Amino acid sequence: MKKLTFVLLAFAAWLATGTAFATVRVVSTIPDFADIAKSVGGDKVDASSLVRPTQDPHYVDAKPSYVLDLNQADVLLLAGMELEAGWLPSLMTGARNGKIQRGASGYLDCSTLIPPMQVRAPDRSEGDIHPGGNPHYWTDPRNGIRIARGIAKKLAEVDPGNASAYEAGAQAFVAMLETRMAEWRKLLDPVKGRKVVVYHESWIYFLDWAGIVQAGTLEPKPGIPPRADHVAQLIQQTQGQGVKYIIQESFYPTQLSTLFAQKAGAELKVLPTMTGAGGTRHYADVIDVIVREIAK
Amino acid sequence: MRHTMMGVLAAALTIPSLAALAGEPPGQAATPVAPPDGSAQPAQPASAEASARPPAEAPSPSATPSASTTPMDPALLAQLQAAAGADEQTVKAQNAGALGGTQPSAPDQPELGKGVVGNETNPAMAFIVDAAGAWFSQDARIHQEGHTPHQTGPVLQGAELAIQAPVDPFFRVFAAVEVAHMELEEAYATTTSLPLNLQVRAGKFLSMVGRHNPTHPHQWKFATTPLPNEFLFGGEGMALPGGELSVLLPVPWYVEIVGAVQAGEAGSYRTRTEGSGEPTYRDFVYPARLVQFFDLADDWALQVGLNTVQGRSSAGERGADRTQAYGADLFLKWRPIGQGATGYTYISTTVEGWYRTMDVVGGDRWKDAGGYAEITFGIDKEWDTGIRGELWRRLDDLGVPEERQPFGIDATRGTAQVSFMPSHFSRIRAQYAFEKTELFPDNHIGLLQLEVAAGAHGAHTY
Repeated sequence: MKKLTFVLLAFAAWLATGTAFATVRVVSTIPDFADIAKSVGGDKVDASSLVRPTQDPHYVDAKPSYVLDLNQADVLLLAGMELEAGWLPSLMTGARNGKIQRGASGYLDCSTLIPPMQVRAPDRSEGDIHPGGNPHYWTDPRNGIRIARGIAKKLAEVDPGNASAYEAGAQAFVAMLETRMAEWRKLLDPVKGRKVVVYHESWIYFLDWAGIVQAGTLEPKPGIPPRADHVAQLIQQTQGQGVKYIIQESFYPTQLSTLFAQKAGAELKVLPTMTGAGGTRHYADVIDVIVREIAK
Repeated sequence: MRHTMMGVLAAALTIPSLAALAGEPPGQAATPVAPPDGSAQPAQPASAEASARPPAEAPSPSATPSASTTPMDPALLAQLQAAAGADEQTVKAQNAGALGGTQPSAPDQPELGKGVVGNETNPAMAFIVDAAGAWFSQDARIHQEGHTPHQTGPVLQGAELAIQAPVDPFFRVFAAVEVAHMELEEAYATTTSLPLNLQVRAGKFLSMVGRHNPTHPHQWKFATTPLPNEFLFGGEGMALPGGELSVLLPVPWYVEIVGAVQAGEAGSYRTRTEGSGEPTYRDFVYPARLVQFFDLADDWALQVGLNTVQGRSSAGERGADRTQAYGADLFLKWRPIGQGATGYTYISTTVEGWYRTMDVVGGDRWKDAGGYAEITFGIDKEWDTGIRGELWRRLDDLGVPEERQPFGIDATRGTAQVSFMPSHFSRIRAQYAFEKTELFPDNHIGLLQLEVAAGAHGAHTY
């Protein structure tokens, strides 16, 4: 009898999950959106992310444990533009959660909030390109503002009772970011037009905002690992251009970049692009690190 | 016009190289690409804090290269800078208003809520071709079927058209058509929004049992089907029409229970047929699986599955015609994803074992057991290598009549492979296997496989 009661209680608890949330459960693919959601939603949201900040977000193992996170989510935030195409769809299907499916109220593709760059014809002979645009947009603080506003609107849709709190949260976040942007601008203005070479094209939005020029990429084409002959060519091409830095994320190997830096008289900078990498704790910290390193 | 499509980088790369071909000194050639004073910037929204700029004014990739490749007219530049400055002022004013809280800020609103970008509403389609050259040292040997090469010479292992799409928030659809043999491998709809963590799949699908059976050739770490899986479920694997119900248990770790009813013939299973050979659809094969996943750490993962397939024997007669199989599988993977790890280094181990009883004509019951164990090493983004051992043993004393051979003879096979992946969408694989069986001379097998996958990037399962 005791056993039966236990089973019934467990079943009742199971039924209860998913009804009437005290906090909105936000699951984000990359940690940055989760951090912004926390800033916007405060104690009204419980935000977590799937991708580790030191991990290449293109290639994530679709671990079934992520299914559990998505199963419990009220809102899913993703970068979109096919960044997560290789692993997220099967997790979303496995999650059995109608709230976060594409087209449902809890689904927010953050790339719909920003003006895309590098929208290209889907021609894979040009490498692993994303036809919808370059998906590495969140390190541009202008996009951070857009994302925060978009997340606030989505949270208000899902949890209308706290709409004004989300609105206020977004405005506070925007104000904070704008203050930081003014600081960053002061650091960046003196180095405007500085040239950098990048490993993967994950920086174009940031560079565009910062006024830094991308003089070349180590990868011959997006997603294709660099080869010696291409790097040799790049060294030749960038000669005399005064390339100051070669920048890359921590998940790309550094041998060729180090060599390039030596030969081109540049300096290698391994920089974070996601919240949590390189000792950062919040979204703005990531931009802060990138700005300070590049403005050096 | 190619470079106008490719954005800043491509322009920066192609133009100096063309110029270099024309014999210009690199320094000069580079000047228009990236002027030292950064004068290309004003053409882009370098007016930085333009956070409220509507998307229509977004930096257009085609505009940027043209702006940076032609020398800038100073008058135009001044004009642009003035305009940018004005934009900045407007934005600041707007933001100040918004922050004052009198007006809800409405930047970028048209984009929000659209929910879908690009042509994402179209199904994602991928076309995957597996071509191989095979060599066997013996003609008398086990002849595998399906995607596994079975004769010396060139072979088209498969040409698969895979289509998938979310239908609406309630269903997702997947289909895989084998164009080489015009065969529908899979076509099913999956629910995504049922209550109580339930999920239904309906259509024709690969049964969710073991690690190997639910997969397509491009997901395999080797170019061939493990022998035990072929003996159990046939060369194509168990892919039959039917329905499947699964549930995710409400416990703190991942536990999924899957059960299906399917009809048709696959390996040691065959459901009742009408006179025409069509399944009656009143008699079924029942695959079931309990799978647990343990996320041991960021870098470690363990999956354990228990499987059974119950059905009617494909070698039986009325009255004594059961085939019952029980199996277990284990998948352990180490893949560092911390600071400085590329994510392409990994070691994964898969072990899958089965025990099967099968009723046959004459009242006998064959008893067999087998399985495979494989280990794969990811070296970097472009290379991986692996070894696999396959084993099958008869456990009864009934000998090997000819009709038993397709369902399993004593066999041991060792396989090794090396793969090179020029990109995420192509792979060249060299594989060698040594095969020892109770009926045939020792066999050496060499394979060279090329796989290309064009189109949408399919989502991998774990």
